[in-house]
Amino acid sequence: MTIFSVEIVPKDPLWKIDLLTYIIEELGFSGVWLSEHPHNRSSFITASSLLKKTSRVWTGLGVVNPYTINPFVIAQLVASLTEVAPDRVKIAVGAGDKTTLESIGVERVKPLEKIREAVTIIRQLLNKKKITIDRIHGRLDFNPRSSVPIYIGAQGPRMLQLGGEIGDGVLVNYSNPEDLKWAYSEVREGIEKAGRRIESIDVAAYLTISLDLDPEKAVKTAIPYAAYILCGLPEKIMEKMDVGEEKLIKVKEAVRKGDWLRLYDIMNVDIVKKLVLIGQPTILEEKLREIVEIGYSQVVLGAPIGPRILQTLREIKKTIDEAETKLYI
Amino acid sequence: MDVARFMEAVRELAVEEKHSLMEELLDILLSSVNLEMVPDDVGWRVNQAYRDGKLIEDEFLRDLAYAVSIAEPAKFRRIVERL
Repeated sequence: MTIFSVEIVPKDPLWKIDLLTYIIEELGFSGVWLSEHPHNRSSFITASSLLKKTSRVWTGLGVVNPYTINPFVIAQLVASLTEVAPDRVKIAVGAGDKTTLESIGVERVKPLEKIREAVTIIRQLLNKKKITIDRIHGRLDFNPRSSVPIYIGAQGPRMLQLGGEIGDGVLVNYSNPEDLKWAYSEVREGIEKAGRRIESIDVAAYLTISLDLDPEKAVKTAIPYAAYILCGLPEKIMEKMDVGEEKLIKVKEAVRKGDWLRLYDIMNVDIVKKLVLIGQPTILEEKLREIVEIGYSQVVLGAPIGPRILQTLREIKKTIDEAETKLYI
Repeated sequence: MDVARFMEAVRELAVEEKHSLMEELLDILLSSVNLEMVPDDVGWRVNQAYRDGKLIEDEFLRDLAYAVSIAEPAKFRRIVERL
């Protein structure tokens, strides 16, 4: 059975995130992924508040970046959250995008090694083991109240394979079925290399969606999100995008400055549509069918969702409920 | 001023109309990118009233209208004119 969850970006006040999560729980989604970005509110502190006020939905922190938060501290924060809501905490770690990291003075070196090491440290500490890796020693002096699945946030082929090799799950950050199919095969390669079974991990399609009856509004809402994704794409995928070096530099510059008006001028609809699932809510049924057929066990409905978030979430849930009947009979 | 006019117009509406107006306002508020402008205490009152099923009550509908008038003044004005 496919799991459906929703991404919330903690850029808005806590009262809104809290209310939206309440509505998401009310609608029957399984969980909420809180994105982690140095310019937004802390996903950990936001999660602590949400978990206290919800009773069923799980909260995923993702994607947490070990370049910006020390893996030992990540384990400490996650373990603390299990005390707020045992069995309702998940975490995803990833190497993030170069542009954002550079903007806060962090160098992104050897991302594969960094993620492998971070997962080892976090997993061992959450399992109450003592860490003795190179210069890192010690253990948590308190007991996590439940286990925490560790996902890997991935886009590039080697990170996708690493996710299949060591993750309890993989968050695959693509939105169109063609890219998702390719990414799934990379995850599968990692799984096979490690001698694991595909059923033993949760492979999640982390879609960026903007749905509305008015396609123009849906595109406008999606532009800043598409620009962020574009800046972080691995080289191989970037080549397929055919964006052009000059345009890419302009997009990166506008993202770095947070100049959204400039982005509306630079980004064209074709690029946005390659990166974000755009259209009427009903298109989701066909896309979901393709994604489930590829093999994904979770679908994350990622921000911005649409220009009218409440109405779109309700329509999406209706579409999922109707599609589920057709998908699983 | 717009909020006062809105509340006056709302009093004339049937319960179903009031409910759909409340839903419309809430959708505008939750979709807004200007929520840093809304005072936190107003936001939390809207949040709690929705959870308690009381957002349709005048006291809380006024809070919702006020929040929307701050975050999305043009959209709010259009709604008031429509009423």
